[in-house]
Amino acid sequence: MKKFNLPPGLVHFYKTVDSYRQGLGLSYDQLLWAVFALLVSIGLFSTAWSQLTLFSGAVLLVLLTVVAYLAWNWQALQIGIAVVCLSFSLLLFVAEPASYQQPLGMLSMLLLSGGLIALLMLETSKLRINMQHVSLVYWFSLISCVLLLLLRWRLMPSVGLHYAGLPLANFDDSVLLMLVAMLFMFILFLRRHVQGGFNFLIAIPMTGTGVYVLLRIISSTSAQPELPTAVLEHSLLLLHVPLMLLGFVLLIMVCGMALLRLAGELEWFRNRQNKDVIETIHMSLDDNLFKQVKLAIILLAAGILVGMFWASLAWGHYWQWTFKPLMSMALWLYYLAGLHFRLQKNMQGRQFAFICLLGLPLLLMTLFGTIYWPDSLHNFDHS
Amino acid sequence: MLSGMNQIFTRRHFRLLRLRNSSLPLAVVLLLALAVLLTSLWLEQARVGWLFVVAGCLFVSIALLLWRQLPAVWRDLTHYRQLQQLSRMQLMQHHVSWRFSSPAPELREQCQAVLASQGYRVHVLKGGSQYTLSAIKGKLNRLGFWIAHLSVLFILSGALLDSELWLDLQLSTGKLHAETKHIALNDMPAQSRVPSRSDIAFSGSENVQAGQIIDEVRLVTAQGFLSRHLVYPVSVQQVELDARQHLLENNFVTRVAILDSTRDSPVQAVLGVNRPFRYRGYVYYQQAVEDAGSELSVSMWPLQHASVVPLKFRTQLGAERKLQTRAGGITVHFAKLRPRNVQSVQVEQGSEAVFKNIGPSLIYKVSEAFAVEREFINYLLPIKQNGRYFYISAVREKDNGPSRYIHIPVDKRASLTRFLDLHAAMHDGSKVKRGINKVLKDAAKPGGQSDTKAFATTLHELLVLFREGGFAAIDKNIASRVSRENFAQSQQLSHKLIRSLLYALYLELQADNQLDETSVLFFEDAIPALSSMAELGMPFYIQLQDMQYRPSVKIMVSYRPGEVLFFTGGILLIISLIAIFYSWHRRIWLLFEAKGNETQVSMAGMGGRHKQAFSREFNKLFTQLQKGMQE
Repeated sequence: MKKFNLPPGLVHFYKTVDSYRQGLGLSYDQLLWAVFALLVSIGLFSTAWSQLTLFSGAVLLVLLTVVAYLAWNWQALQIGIAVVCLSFSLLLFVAEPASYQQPLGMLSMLLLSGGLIALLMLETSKLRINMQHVSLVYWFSLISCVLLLLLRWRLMPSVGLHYAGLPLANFDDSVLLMLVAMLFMFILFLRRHVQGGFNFLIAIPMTGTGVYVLLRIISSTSAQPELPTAVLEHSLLLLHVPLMLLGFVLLIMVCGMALLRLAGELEWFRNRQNKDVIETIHMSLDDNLFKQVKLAIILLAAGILVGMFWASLAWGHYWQWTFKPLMSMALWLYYLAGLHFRLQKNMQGRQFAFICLLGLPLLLMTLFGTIYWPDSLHNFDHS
Repeated sequence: MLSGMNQIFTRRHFRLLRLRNSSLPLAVVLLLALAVLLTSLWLEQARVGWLFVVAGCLFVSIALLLWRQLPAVWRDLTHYRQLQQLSRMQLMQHHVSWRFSSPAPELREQCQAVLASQGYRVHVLKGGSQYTLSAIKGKLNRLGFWIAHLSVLFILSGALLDSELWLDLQLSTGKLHAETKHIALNDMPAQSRVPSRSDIAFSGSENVQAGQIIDEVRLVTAQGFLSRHLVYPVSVQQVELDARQHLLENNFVTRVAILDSTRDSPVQAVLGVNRPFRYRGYVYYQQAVEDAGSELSVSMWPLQHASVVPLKFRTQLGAERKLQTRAGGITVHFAKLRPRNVQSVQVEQGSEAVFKNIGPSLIYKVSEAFAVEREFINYLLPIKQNGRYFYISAVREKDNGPSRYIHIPVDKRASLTRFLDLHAAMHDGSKVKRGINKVLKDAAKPGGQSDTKAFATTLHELLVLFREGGFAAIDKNIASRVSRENFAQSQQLSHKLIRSLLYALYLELQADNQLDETSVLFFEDAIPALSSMAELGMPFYIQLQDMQYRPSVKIMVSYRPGEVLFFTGGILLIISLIAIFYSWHRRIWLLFEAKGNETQVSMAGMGGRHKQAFSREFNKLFTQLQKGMQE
């Protein structure tokens, strides 16, 4: 057989890519899988791009850039985490495009940014945060968010028909519930292992967002009380909404922890921490990533099924070709595929974390997509 | 060529593509392909065909997996895999041996008790002088694995049965032909009629009024319309507001009777929001309730002149009426009738706002030459706000901007008469003259005749401005005449003068020229209403005197033969996922061999993928067994 030589340019390109692959510790099939997922993400964003507002587009661009930067240059750990965390908070604001134009919204955003910058300064100046203080911040955040949720409950108009009195009427309520659920989930999954700045990093933006959301609810409730929608007054929604939200919350946490797990591979990070501590954190993160993806898959499956049953009662068919059901199903299938890899190939550590993180664009689309592509069945999400 | 392909595929770089050795990469690829397709389907549903192809491949892949795995799963569930050779046990990652002085049968019984207490199912095999004890725990995991994949087959089968694939095939092969025009169902050509006895899924709807029967529904496809005869026709008896949910705006229920020729009497049912009715596999829904031309009895008061005699006429919802006014032709379109309006109302001053049904409302649109079409909403019952009753009217430019509300106070007889009298008085020359004279008299001061005349002229000019555009027109006129420094003072004076004139006109309407507290409050409420009406240029005020509400209901009938399969699959999937994720399959073997006066006990085990957890459990068992045997 005649030997076939590749063009020199292609060989050079292949070697370059291969060196990056080795640097990342990825096997060939993992690299292929990653490229495939990246193409899906790029495809999604390219279709989304024309309809995104400039602001949210910029935030997503920053998010993507940071992820890409982290992938090729491990030295960007702290900036990366801070920017991604800030982006998450900002995305919550983007959910209501007018919110950041209000003085209150602007103030909350400045506070969040200030908190994150302060954290960055603390970390880069090698000052150590007192663990007891961090713990206090975390508990303060959890209690604050629970109080915010209760306050929201009390602030509802006396009509009491919002899902049998539960405050789950709109996107603001969903965000509040997600914040509380997320803080509880952190206790459930990470109570023993999470260290230092991670608590701080989670607690500050979440409490800030919670306070902001509640203030917005107060201002809007006093101006114009909300009227319940007849079709939403069904007991099955008491299951569907919380199940889906808890599933989404778990996947947000999965993405955050996956980022931390990948960031933990940095030499910069390793040089600054005790090796045993790093290994403990890694083991904890690996274990929790798996546990949370499993639980998220069950919760989302149950949430989707309950939603389908309700849809069959309300609209005559359990399946509708609209944005949110399609995206939720795609998200569920993506993580199910990831879990198959994890179970069958016993894939652990950074590879599984990488797969989890690549689901982030799909998760964001599922959560916030209906703002830009209204879905006739889920418009009340962002009302 | 094949060998060449195989060589390529056996290269390490392309191992992902070697799908033949395991169905797992294929399953992952298919799951991801499904995810990608789903994310793109909301953009273009034409790709649904691809979804069927990928789902079909997934079906085959899972079916093969189930077939292939069935013997292994069955073995795992039923076989204890007795290991009778020490050498085989020693090959396992977890193994350990002891020697005890007690006889083998005694040790075996103790071990059996310890394992049973830990939830293991134990089986004992005796072979010569040795005993083998095999134990299994976590069978649910293996069963869950098989059921989870089986449930996906259920889900896919159910979805396929409930899909419109059969209809699409019939349409694409020309056996059915979709009608592109929205014609009456009776006029549908034969090739657009779906056979009624076929057991294929469909979902169709039809609009009817109370008293009518539906024996056919309209199926909407991408190519056009089809009709489907109903096996069990439905008679719509009554459409009414849902009394149970009085705070939900325009929530209707429909009383229907399902006509089944095999029964003596029809089956009565109530359809509503989230309340379908299922009968022999067919599900009946109330999809929407619309107005089918309610009859309206209307009084129309012209607001441009002194007449207080309304124009009365009967019309239908959806009809238009052309009118001639001083400003030219006006077209009124009676657009919508809402029998119930739930709004937040503050009934008493200082009290908390509550949701309340404020009664029906009529929405009409007014088109004038050279003017933007405006939409008016008139609430037909007076509404109590801050302790007083008002007729509320809202105006907005069509689909643009917020509504502007006008609160018209009601008189002592809860009617609009007093307000409309006051409005007409503004246009009545003689009443205006008397009013101006009264104002002049009240404000009389020693001065020249010329001052009085100028004052009267100013008052009249102010009234003309007020009639044309309310306080806003007066303010605009002042702004064009005086400097900014003097604006506030002039505005205050002008408003005071016009209020004095209106008060004089109002006083004249009172029989005894006396005003009690209620009448004063009425006047205070009437001023902003008069101003707003003038500012908005309302040509007339419409009040609905009587109405005959005629709703039409869109009844949807669907037949989903795969629904039970789909939801059974879904429930099984969730249960089996819990079984897979939260139980794990492990095996323990114990071999008891007599070695002289002693008994050698060998223990081995395997825990699948849960290596760390199994190590912990193996060590724990080891300790417990050792303790049990030493006792």
